[in-house]
Amino acid sequence: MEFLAQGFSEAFLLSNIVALVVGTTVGIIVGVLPGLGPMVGMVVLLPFTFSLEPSVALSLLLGVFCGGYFGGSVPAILLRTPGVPSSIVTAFDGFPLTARGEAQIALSAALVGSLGGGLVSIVILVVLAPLLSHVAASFGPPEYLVAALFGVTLVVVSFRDQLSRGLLLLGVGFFLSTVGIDGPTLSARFTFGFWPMQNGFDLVALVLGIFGIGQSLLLLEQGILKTDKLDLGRNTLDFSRIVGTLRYWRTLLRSGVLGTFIGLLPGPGSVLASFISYDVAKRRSSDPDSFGKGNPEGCVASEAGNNAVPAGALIPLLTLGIPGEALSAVLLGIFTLNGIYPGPLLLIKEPELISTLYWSMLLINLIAFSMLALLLRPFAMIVKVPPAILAVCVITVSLIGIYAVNSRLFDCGVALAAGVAGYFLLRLGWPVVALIMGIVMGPIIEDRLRQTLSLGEGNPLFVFGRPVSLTIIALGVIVVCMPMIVALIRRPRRS
Amino acid sequence: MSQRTDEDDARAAKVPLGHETLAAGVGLSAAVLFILSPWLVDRSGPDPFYKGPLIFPMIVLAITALSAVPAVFRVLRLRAVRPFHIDGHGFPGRAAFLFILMCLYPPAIAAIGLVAATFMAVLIGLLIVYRRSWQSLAVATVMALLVHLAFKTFLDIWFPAPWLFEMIEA
Repeated sequence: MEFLAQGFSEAFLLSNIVALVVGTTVGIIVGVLPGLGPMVGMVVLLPFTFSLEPSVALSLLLGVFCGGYFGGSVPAILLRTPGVPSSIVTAFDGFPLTARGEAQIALSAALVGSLGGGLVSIVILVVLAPLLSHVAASFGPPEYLVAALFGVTLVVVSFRDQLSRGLLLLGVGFFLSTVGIDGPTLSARFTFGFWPMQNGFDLVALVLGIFGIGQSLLLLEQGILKTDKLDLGRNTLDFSRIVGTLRYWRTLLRSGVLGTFIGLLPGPGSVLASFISYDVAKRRSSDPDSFGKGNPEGCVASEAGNNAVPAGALIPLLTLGIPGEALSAVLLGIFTLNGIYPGPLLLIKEPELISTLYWSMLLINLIAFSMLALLLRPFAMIVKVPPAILAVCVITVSLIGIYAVNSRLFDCGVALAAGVAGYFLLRLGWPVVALIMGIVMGPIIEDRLRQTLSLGEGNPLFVFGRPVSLTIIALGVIVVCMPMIVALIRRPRRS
Repeated sequence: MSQRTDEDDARAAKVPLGHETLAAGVGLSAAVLFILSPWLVDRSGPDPFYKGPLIFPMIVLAITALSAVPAVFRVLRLRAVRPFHIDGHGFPGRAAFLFILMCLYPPAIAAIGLVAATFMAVLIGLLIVYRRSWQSLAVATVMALLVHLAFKTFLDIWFPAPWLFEMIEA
């Protein structure tokens, strides 16, 4: 309790509250806009965070992260066009309800689901993070190395049908992180004698290029949404509908817990959390046939599941320094840029920051829910902004933002090149998250590898002699091989 | 198990090789960098190989090259029967135009200053991709003002003095 009290006053400081409101507003806006999403919002705001306190910067970005999931359900319900990919499941029941003139029921169910899922996941985060941190405190460099490799393996394996592309992009991401002067040895690597490359490729330039510029170019090509049938019923959310949704409290709790634990695993992410939560709710319902035809319980389950993912993803990030997907990889980048290194000692070294983070997560959920409940119409109307205007403005702000980080025009060139690559990768549907994981995790894994090899005097087999490392390796082998074994067992049965 | 039909074969033959070609290209580039890496990394330090600057790049380049091997084989095997385009959705003309315009934007900031360059870039961009002059003009004006407020007034970022204006004044 003392630990939680430490961050309470910090979280309620005016600067933090302003950051939370701004971040959540931006998050809802980019969440409402199909084609943008919280990732674009986070990377566009990145340059603004460098002049802020770490806790305020993190609150701002967490606001975008969580606000995006809240906002994504609005166009999914009203237009059957999900603002974020995971909200596609919300559209299964949300849009049929809108078509029947009951958009208020669907929106209430989705927002109560989002709020409930978010709150459940924060409670699990507060309880589970110290326990995991306690276990991780016994880790040495080999265990960290194996755990980090396990994390990236899970991410790559999650793209089962694009395994080789995931691995390829992970390798490219790792390689990009090695360009420039190597910190420990001060040796130049892959600079080709070009001095601006000695500083390496800036993380912000690469991430902003891939998502800010690449995603905006793609948005420009995707065309304009048909928004003629935007029927909300009223300007705000109907309070009686909100209270009515609370009868699905069991679904809400169950989906919140499921979403948190899915978020905890590197790789699967919010789409899987939505699908599984929805599927479990349907199976346990007394009227499963009504799912997909306009059952509000479906909206509750899907939104509670996907909104529990951010807090779940923070657990491995804070305790082990392993991001589960692209959004938490960017958060890890923010931590390290501010000189904060997530890991088991973070809870001991920075208790106030972590406690502030917990309170901020709680406030973000309350702020996002209140904002959407009270300002439903203005937020819903954002979908009418033409994508061409959005694309031009986002690219302009991204380029100036990249310049603002280091005052180097070279970084703008890097971002533009990354933008082209990002555009094609996103258009082709390649697993871009593997590339981001490689860029962010590259320096961390390289450091751990060197430390591990130094401990083993150059012998990599040294890690197999440590029980914790061996356990993690065994887990990794099981996760990678299990689907192949299952497929082999099933094949003779089918034939 | 279901049997493959002629229809399935015909559909498979139409799947473009763009993905594989891209993967193979990236993989081959990684292989070339892997071979050249001892010359592209400064190894003059006293550290042994396992602590040195070369080990990690060599490992990741090997992973990248190896993960492209299936794509290389697929390209070599199917190059005669499958088209090479990426996704068949045509050339992204508007995106290409906007990209070229944005490539000129950073040098324009150095030449004519932040506000003027932003106004011009947004206006020209919108006139081409949005084609509504009054709205484009309004958005360009608002963007130029917002950018000035956010980056110069609020964040106090240094931008180079516009050399074109200085040259004209001189």
